[in-house]
Parts: sequence; C-alpha cells; structure tokens
Amino acid sequence: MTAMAVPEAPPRRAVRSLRWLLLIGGAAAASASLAATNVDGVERFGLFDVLEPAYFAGVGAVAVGFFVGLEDRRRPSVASLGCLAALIVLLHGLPGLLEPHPRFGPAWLHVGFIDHLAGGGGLLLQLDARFSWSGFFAGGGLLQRAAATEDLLWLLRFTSVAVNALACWAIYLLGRPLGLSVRQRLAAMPIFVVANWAGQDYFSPQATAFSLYLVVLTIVVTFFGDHVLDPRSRVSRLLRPAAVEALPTSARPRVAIYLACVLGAAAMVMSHQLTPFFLASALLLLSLSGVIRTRALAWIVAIGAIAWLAFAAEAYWAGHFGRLAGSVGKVGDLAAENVGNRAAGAGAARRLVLGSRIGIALVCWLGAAGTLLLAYRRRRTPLVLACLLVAPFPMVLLQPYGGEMIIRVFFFTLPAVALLLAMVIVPSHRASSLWRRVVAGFVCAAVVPAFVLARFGNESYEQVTDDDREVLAAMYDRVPDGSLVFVVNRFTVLYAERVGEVRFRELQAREAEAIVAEIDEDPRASSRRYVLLTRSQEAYGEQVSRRPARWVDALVSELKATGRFRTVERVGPSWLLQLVPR
Amino acid sequence: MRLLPALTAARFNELTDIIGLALLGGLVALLMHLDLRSARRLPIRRAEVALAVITMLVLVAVVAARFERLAS
Repeated sequence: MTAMAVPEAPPRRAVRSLRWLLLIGGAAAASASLAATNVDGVERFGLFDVLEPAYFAGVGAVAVGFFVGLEDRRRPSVASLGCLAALIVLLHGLPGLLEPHPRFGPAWLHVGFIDHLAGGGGLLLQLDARFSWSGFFAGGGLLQRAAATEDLLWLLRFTSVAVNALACWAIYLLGRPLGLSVRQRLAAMPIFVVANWAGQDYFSPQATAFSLYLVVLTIVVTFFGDHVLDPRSRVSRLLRPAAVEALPTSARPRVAIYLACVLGAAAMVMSHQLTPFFLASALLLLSLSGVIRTRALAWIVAIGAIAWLAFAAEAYWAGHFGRLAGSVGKVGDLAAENVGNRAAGAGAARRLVLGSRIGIALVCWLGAAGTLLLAYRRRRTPLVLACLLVAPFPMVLLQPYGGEMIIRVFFFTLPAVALLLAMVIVPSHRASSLWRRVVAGFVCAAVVPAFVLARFGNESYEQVTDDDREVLAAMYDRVPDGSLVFVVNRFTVLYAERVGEVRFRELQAREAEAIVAEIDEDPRASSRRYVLLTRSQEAYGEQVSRRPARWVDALVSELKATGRFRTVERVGPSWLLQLVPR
Repeated sequence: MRLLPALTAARFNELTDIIGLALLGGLVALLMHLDLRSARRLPIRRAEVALAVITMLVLVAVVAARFERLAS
C-alpha cells in the first residue's frame, strides 16, 4: 500500500471541468446559504439547528469535487488546493462566518492572560495552572506588542482555520517519506478536516503545541527516518515494515534541522503540560520500532517536560501532588471520567451530540486499524503511522484531565488515521477509478452533517452572543478593582480583561438563599461582590445540567426577592447583579 | 516583559535544585550529541550512553526529592 506511485493518465477535460464546477458551485451555494442564516435560532443541536440543506449540499459538492479531481502529479493542483481551502473555511470557519463575536470562553481567557502579560503584569500562578506553562502567553504578549494592537481578539475568529490548514500541510508532508503518492497524501487532508470534531484547535496553548507536535514529527520522519533495525532481525520479520525514505541532506543542514526540532520541543514544553508527553510517546515508539535515527530525542522531550513540571510549574502541584497523581493507572476511574461521566444525566439532544462524536472516533479508529492489518498481511506495515496511531493511547492512563483526555487522544491520532484511511480510499498499487473517487467524495460529504453536529453541537453555550458581550463590557466598565464576580457555572467569558483586578468564583449553590449564604461566607470575598448570569450559562444549564427553560430569569427574581441584590446591567437574558451589604 | 517568566517565578532554595538544573543541561547536551552522531551514522560509544543513563538516574533522584519536599 505504500509502494511507489503508479503514473496515471491525466484526468480528462470533462473531469477537470466538473471539479471546478463543483468547487465554484458548491462554495457559492454554501456561502449564499450562510449569508441567509441567523444564529439566533441556535438551540440543543448547536449550529446544526440553523444550517440550511443548501449549506450541506454546497459543502458536499466541494468534497465530491475534491475527490473526483484527485490526480497524481508532482504537486497538488490549484483546484485541489481550492477545494481543500473551501472545505476548511466552510467547516472550521463556520462560527467565525456566522456568529457576531469570536466564540468560546477559554479563547477569550487566553486573550486576557496575554493582555495581562503584554501590559507588564506578572504571572498569577495561584490564579490559574495555565500560567505555569506560560510560553504561549509570553509569545502572545510579544506578538501583541509587536503588532501594537489593543489585544489579540482579532486572532480568535479564524484560528481554527489556520490550525487545520497547518495540520493538513504537515500531514501532506508526513506522507512523503512513507512512500505515499501525491493523491493519497491529498486525500488524507479532507479526511482530517471532516473528522476533526475535537475542538482543540481554538486560540490556545494546546492548539499551538499540537501544531508544533506535527511539525517536529514531520521533520524527524522526513530527515531522520531510516531503517535502523536489521531487515533480517526477528523484530523486522515480525513487524514487516514498509520503506521509509528520508530526504538526503548533508551534515551541516542536518544539525540545523535537528536543533530546530529541539527548539520546537522546548517551546512546546514551556507552553503546554500534556503535548510534550504525546510527542515523547510518539518519538519513543518510533525509535523503538527502528524507523528514526534520532533515538535520544524522545528522552530529551520527556526529561524537559518533567523538569519543567518539577522546577518551573511547582505552583501547579506543590501542596497537592498526591491528589494530582492519585489517578495514574486507575483504569476504571479514568474510563468512567473520560466516557461515562460525560454522558451522565444528559438529555436526548446532548446524547446525540456525544453519540456523533463517539461514532466518528470509532469509525476512524476501526478504519485505521483495519488498514494497518491489511498492510501487515501484505508485508508492508507503515510502522510510522502505526506508532503515531498507538502512541497517544497510554496518555489515557495518566490523568482524566477533566474527562477530556480521550478527546485529546483522538485529536492526536487523527493525522495517522487520515493517512491510513487515505491509503484505502486511494490505493497506490493501481490506478484509482473515477467511481471509487466519486464514492469517496460522497462518503466525505455524508460525514459533514455528523461533523457539524459533533463539532458545533455545543454552540448554544460556546458562542458569545451580543447580549453576553454587552453585559461583559458593562461589567468591565463599572466594577472597581478588587471586585469578586460569582458565576453559576464557568461556561461564559471569564478573565477577558483586567485579569489581575477582577476575579471570578464559581458558585456551588443553586438556590437563591443558598447562593446568598455562600457569597456571604466566602472568606476571599471583598466588599465588592457581583453575580454574573449570561445567556451561555443559561444554555449550559438547560442542555447539560437539565435545568428548566429560562431558569436564569427565575433565579434572578429569587435573588432580588432576598433584598440583597440590585441590578447593575441587564441585556436580554444576561444580568449583572451586585450584592448589597447587610 | 520577561521572556521566560515562569522560570524566574520558580523557587530554587536547595542546593539539590541547582545540581538538578546543572544535570539537566548536561544531560540534554549529551543526548543531543548522541543523536547527532547517530544521524550522521557515526558509531555511538558505550561510555557516552552509560554516562547519559547515570546522569538521568541522578536527575530522577533529584526531581523525586523535590517532589517529595514540596508535595505536601
């Protein structure tokens, strides 16, 4: 399956014309549909609720156009790249195209942290663990200063598009030393795009670290890939590896390339707590399989990550190391947290969203495993891809990470999954017939609705509405320094501005009297105490915590009935209340 | 703005911490040296590998001591 590409006759003019027609027609239909879409109707199924059939038909046409026009040339054609760009923008840029403000509270929080550092503020290590891995924030601060902008909110809207485009480029390059044809490498890219529901590609340290992960791995395999094992050895006979052909380079450039890899890994170690371990795991497996020559790089990354944790991130673990490390290896607890608890108590709509995610992940993993088995039987096991597929899974045993570890594992397996599935869709040992490519295009198009449901099914509480934005602006305008703002859940924009001056606390109580008591008893509370209730919090409560419809208005009425709160700002369903001293 | 603010925010109270950082730097340099020899298809000396392993073990002990000291 990884044999050299078989030259194929160039596609006929009719196919070329059809490809352009599908690209232009599909993109135009989808764009026109999006222009007429109103996100006010987003409810239980997120953006899926508001998208018209014309959008799905348009994106499907672009996907079919991409696969129909797949051809083996030395370089990807303009039409192929156009189809891919349209797919990435129409799928991962969807919220950016539709919503009034950049989405997702954590992305706003990262902008707030960066703004705090850019403004000369120090690290607030006790405020948030993320400050202990401050490489991303320090880099963002440098960018903000260099760009001389007020903040980096302008980067948020289409960060996902950029991260997915970079990932596609890395996947395309990664396939080259593995002997995959241009057509196979091209086919892998839309597979990654339509399967990537993980939502880890927003403006964040993990998205940056994932990009570095892919770049470092691609460079290592491309320049240091090799057969270190003796082909006659027992391990080689057992694994039946396919060829890995590194790009020939002379000694000096190779040293520079290696140092660039170490630099990339160092940036990753400083920026994110998990990704270096994913990289170390992948590099270790690659070196044990004998497909790369740089066998010490895995140890450098692992030692660097542990040393950073021990020496530079002590605020994260000092005083409660036992609680953090307590879950290591407890398979039952970790599985429950990662899978079972995520669906616990969820309504039918949320279960459908979670089901679409699990469905896509299982199809991807089973398809990739099947391809590996097939290749093994043909004595051409793509060991590099096998390693990249398997390497993320041990991370599940380390920490539940708030139940998100399995999502991250899926995300990190996706590049290998995409290349493996592409090897089945477009076999290189024979010319791929037109009908096969048409079927692949239609399958890809059929996955698009499932992708939208899985990726943007939580949009009711992950988007930032006009109401929420106005209340937040009013809050930062009016609350004085040292204020403490209580929130009923964390699904809103926190720490977007004045990170050092305005702090947030999550309330545990749900009833008005209990909330008042909790705020009064909070030892950290200052005299300036507020309660922030937003539309996104309301949507989260309804969708995940099974609260009744319009529960925020009811709660506000109860809070005001206690005589302890006055309204500071109200915009639609979003409120800012101030606690009046006794 | 400091380039590496997290490093400067860390506490290095003990001599073992300083030793740990020195070992870390030496070990990373040694591992990079081994990788570059391997990439150029030059033979790896057993003494260098042994030195890397011993350094790594000492570093693990230093890090474990730090975790033990600050864990609770």
